[in-house]
Amino acid sequence: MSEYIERPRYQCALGGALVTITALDRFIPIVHSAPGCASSAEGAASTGSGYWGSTYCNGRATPSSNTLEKEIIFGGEERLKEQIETTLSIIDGDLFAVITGCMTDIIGDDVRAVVNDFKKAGKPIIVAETGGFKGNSSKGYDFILEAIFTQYTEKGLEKNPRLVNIFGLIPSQDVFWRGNLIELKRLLNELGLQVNTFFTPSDIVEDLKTASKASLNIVFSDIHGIVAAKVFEETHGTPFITVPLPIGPTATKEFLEEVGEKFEICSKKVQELIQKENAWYYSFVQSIGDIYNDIDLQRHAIIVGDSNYSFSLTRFVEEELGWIPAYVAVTDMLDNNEKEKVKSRFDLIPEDLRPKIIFETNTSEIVSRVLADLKNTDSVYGDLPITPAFVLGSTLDRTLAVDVNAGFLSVTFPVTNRVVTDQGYAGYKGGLRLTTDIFSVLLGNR
Amino acid sequence: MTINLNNSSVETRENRLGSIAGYNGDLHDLANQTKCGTLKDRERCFTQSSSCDAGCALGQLASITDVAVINHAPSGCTGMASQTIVNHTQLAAKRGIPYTTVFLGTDMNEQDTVFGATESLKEIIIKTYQRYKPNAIFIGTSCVSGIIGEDVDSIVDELKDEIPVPIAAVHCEGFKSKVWATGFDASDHAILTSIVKPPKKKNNIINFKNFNESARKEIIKIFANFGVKPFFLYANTTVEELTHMSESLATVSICGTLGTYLGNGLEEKYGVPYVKSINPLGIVGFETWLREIGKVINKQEDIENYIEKERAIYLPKIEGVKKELKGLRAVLGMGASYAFQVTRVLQELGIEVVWVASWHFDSKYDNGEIPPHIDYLVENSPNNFKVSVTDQQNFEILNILNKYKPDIYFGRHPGTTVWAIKQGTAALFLGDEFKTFGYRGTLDFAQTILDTIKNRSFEKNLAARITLPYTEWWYKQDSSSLLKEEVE
Amino acid sequence: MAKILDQPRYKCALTAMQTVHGITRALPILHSGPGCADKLDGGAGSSGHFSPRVFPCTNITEKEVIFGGEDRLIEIIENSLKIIDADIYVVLTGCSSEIVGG
Repeated sequence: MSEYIERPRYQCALGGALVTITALDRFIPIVHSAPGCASSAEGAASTGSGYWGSTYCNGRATPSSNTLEKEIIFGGEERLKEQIETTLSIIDGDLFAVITGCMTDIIGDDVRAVVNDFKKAGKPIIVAETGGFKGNSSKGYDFILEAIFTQYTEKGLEKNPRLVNIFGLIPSQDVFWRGNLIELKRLLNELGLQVNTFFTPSDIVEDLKTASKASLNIVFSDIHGIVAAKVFEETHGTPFITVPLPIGPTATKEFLEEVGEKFEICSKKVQELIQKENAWYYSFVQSIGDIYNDIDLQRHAIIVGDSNYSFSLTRFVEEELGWIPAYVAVTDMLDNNEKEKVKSRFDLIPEDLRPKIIFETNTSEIVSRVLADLKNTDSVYGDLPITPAFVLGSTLDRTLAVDVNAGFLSVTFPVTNRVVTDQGYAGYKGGLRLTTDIFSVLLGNR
Repeated sequence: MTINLNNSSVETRENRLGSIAGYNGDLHDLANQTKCGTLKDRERCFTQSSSCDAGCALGQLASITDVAVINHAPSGCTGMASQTIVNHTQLAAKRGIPYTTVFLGTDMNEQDTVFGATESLKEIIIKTYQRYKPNAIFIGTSCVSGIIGEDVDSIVDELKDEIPVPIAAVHCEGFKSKVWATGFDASDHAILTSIVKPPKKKNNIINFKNFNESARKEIIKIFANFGVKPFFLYANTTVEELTHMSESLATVSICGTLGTYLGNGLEEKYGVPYVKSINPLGIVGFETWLREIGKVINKQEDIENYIEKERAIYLPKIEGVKKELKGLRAVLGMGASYAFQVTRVLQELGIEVVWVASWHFDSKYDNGEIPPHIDYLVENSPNNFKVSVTDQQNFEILNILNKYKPDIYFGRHPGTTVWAIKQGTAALFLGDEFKTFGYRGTLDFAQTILDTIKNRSFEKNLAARITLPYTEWWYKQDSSSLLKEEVE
Repeated sequence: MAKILDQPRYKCALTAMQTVHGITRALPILHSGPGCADKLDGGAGSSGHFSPRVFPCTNITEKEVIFGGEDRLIEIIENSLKIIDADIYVVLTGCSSEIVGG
């Protein structure tokens, strides 16, 4: 199929693989591609994820073979071999991953063969073919994870009955991945479980090696990381469950209960944790009940995001804020099966509050489809069926907010009008933060 | 007549209008007792914080844009100053006009309380004039100044010749009245006695007493159809503009309780007719009020044409939303006029009102008549709903909500509706007094109610996870059980 | 000596009610006029388990000023204990009650 892509909310496979690697310190990418790929990818990731910026060895420091016409014509394997050798001696890292771009995949460089030589010599190096044309960030995330699980993660390790791996939140694509992972880990720790998050600034490469000790993988997505989780199961025998990213008390309660059941954790302990977290959450939310009601902070909601956030944010605003969801636009590239999977999550939302779901990758299409639908909507609200409204989307969706006279908060990729550090929107802490951020926007003009 | 402009202090509502702050019964009983003159106040053996008339009076006066309000009180009473000034600065900015009013306190301390502070007060008034050059100065009294017997009136008399702008004492000691709405009367009294001047000519302006003029543009347009202009007060007015109120064609008010003293006062003293019909909330309210105005300004036919045109536009839309609101039950907790008039609007929308909690109740207005909205309800209400006069008492409201479990609770004072939602009842804060104004307001109101009840999960979740302060014992009692027997 | 208080950045001593309010499940009982709590209220989301609207108050009127307010206070305290569930009840006095001495 060939369509144009307009203001995309993801990168190519190479980009996805690259951000995954560079999110983990001392995990070094070696990009086998033309000169611009690495920096372009990094630029998109770092500005679009709240100015994530430099980590251990990325950005302008990314090792890259910078293949030019010569390599395209005569092959790039020699260049790659040279690049790997030098990278190993110059960069101090624990694990190296060769990832490829479009050109090198097309010209058919046997990168695996090149890397295998180094592997035989005992170097900690893996390879993944991540040519951009193969798919978007999500595919890149799957590719690199597969490579890690099959080439680096140790086989045959004894399973730890209390160890869990978390997947599904793509670094940078989920702009709040660090805060989210930290909160999810905290909650699972409270249940007595150990957790590998892999991609927060305090994680280490060693965890990837021993990841096979986990007795369960949790994938917080119906779409991202599923293929990788399946490979993990085949290779290391660890089963996985998929859970929608939990935002706020209701969704998080369901998540904790599911995990509690899977690990046969005594239900009293699970309920105690839930009570404790609820009490904490509501100790703050009950005070803002004043302003919520007196200024009437209820809104009709328009959500624009990927498969993870489109549902999770809708559920949050409907259940925790008492808002009325009007439209949801899912911006991932999905096949029909995947679309059905995403759609079926919305069955959890009461029928009279279910939003209209649009699958659309192009920003301006989203705007025109929403506006056209509004024009044709016959409702008791007359000409302004969704007033007052609020848009939760990416910075690109600010224009939609202006068109429907709505408030706006950037949550989904790309986010360029905020700086993101440890903020997260998952769990109880995340739910409170999201409530605070949204209401602060609504009062921001005072 | 109840208005006496010769006294420096306004008479309290309980004395002037037979107003009460405690009652429990129903609509018909309330109306009958009022007509027979047997309605008596009931005190409570348990009360929670309410409001005082000083907050009311001084808040009203501080909404004028070019005055000084001096609160002869300790610093706590002046604590309301920042909120008041911020609100009115924003209101003025909305219209692009200057707001230079200052809200000062005299910061009375223990010394002042023991030895008195009238000399310092005198100096402060002079300094205030020199520093801020306001166009009028109002000196508000307080509990402390009242109890120690500060003779503010004499100070004002002494300074009248020295200070070139109007200066008036506003007697609004917090303990003065059981009904804080007496504060509205105190501010009106100050304006009528010191600001309004005898008319030099007649103009085509209608005085419009309200709170925050949110429907200003809309009403200017409506009135233009009949060749008249509205003058909204007191917010965003100047002293100069207020001096001319005696020259207006008529006075109207958005609320009967708010407008009674000024409206009747202007009529008695200067012959400016006061429109005393029900207020323009909802369809019947709006039409009745407009027709009354039509009589006064002699434009009956134009008004009828206008009404016909607007009905054609709005009534079908309102009917459309009404369908979605069928079967809803409501409880209201508001001031003496709004509680009953919003009830009328809710009944127009087909919503059942099960309990009306009025913060106080005026047996009559300053024209000597029972408030017209009561008569209207007696004749037209589909049910004899329960009524209590509740003076904002939170414990009574939560008890009522717990027993009657309405679909929605309506309030108008900040910090009241939050308690309803904490107990799991959806609530709508009717802060904007024009929310139900006319056809447009009725439609808007209906749509907002629909939004409010459409998704009640916020209040449901909140109520399930927080604790309420009342004992189980209290919820088992009747909400009126702590009202004492009637006083004489 | 009274002085001009313009744009005040402090409130009076009765604002101690906010300190009591900050203690979980502590309830201030005000022996003061009806408007005090309303005016001393923080104004920025102050409801919690309690809020100034819930604080019992003797709501002093002219009657208490003239005849004294002790009986009223006793009545309020007795009923507060029955109606409101708190761990500690703290009686705070305002201007009127202190001047009158009752």
